[in-house]
Amino acid sequence: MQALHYRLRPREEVAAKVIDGEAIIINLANGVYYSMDKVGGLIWDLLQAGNSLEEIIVAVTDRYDVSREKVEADIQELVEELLRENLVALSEDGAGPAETRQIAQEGKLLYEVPKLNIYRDMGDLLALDPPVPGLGDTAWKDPTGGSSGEPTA
Amino acid sequence: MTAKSMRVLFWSETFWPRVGGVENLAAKLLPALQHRGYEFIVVSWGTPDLPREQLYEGIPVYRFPFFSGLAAGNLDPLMETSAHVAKLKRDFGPDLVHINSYGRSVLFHLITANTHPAPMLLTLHQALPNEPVGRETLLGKILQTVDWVTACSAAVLDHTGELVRDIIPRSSLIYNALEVPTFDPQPISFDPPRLLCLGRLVPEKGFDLALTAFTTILDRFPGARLVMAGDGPERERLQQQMIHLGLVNSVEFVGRVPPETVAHLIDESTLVVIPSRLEGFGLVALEAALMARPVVATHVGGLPEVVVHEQTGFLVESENSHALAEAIALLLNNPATAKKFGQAARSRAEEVFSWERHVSAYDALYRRLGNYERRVVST
Repeated sequence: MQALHYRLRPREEVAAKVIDGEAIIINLANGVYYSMDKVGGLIWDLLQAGNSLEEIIVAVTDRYDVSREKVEADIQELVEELLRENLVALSEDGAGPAETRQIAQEGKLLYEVPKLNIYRDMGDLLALDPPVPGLGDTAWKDPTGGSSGEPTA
Repeated sequence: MTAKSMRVLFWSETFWPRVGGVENLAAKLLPALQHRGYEFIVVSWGTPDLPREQLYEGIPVYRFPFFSGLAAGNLDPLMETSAHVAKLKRDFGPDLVHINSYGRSVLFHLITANTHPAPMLLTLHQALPNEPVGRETLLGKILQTVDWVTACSAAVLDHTGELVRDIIPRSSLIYNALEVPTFDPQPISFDPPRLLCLGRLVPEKGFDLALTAFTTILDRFPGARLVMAGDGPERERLQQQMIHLGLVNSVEFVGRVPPETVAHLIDESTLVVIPSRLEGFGLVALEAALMARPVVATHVGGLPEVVVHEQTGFLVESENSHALAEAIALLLNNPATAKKFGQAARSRAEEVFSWERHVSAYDALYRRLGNYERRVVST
């Protein structure tokens, strides 16, 4: 169980993006691919924006038709899994989110337990070659055998 | 659901104009089903040499770069590709998604599956790796998620069921098949003997074993010739082996052969050699059978279902070039037997691997799956 004032930050070797409520997360060190949607996508979005666990619990409870106790328990379980998977690190300190997003909605949504979908067999396609450290300009491997992509600016 | 109202998204990582067993089959199956009223689009893995959108026999083919273009920390290309796939699904509105052979691009199908939920069919053309299928793997997830699995051979079907037992009640065998060639095969010529190896030049095809076996054949039949038809990453290594074995004047590498000329190439051959280490079905064995040519093949994968030992050809132990050579020599020394095997192979192929039956099987399966519930999947 983690104290609720803690914040989580994605680890350096993790690349993630949330679009339309779906979080896509890749551990660049080993190429493991993760996804979370709906409640899980919202949690990741809030987490990477710098919200504390308490702030995330409040946001989820505001948006979904679910008790605070249930959300807190599910989030604690999810946090443990994110820590086990080396996707996040805990921080007691640090600034809060850059902005507080107001989630405008009419009525609460149906709650589903946040689920971290894991794909462990994508390493040869998604892991950086060579792996971290030094993310810098390293390009992904091209599945067709050549070198792909351009380094990020 | 009737064929005339069904839209099928055919997800095939490799597709026309790529040449190969899986690709050639799909290139024939889709027009045949289209003729029965189905509307298709194809999603395939794009490479720089192919256009992103193209028509094949009136069927739109959309090619996506999938995992290309990713750079450290930048998931934008991946998200962009997902968005394009999602839009395609929304616009087309498939009644069924048919995944033609497992490949990692199906990740993009899974992550967009709920954009437009539709029943899913997976066809396996190769045996799965002989190791437990983890639930936290793309392969595990797709097998959990699909509504039905077909396999091209009993060997692939049985092996899949052993690895993933809950597949068993939602799976079936639909043999690969081919149309009977439009011309009659000419009588087999043994003077000189012409052996044919046809397929991708990759280690699993075992063509190195054929070269080794051919040295024995050449000792006994000095005028014999071996044609290696196909291309692939092993070409240079095989050519080096040919040189090392002193076969330069007796072996010819002809490169990739257009599908429409395969029957003619087999027609010019005495017999076909299939020394595969892995083989889901063995489409080349069927192509040989339809041209009334006997086959010497390894006893692996689906090959024993296509080649009947001592009736339509010989099956030998895998990785055994000596056994391969002895079986080939036995046929070359017994032309009457070779011809009898060839005729038996053709008769059996026309009955067991009937093209009409193959198309009808998919037609019936599509219609059945089209009535399945469109469920939201957990990916």
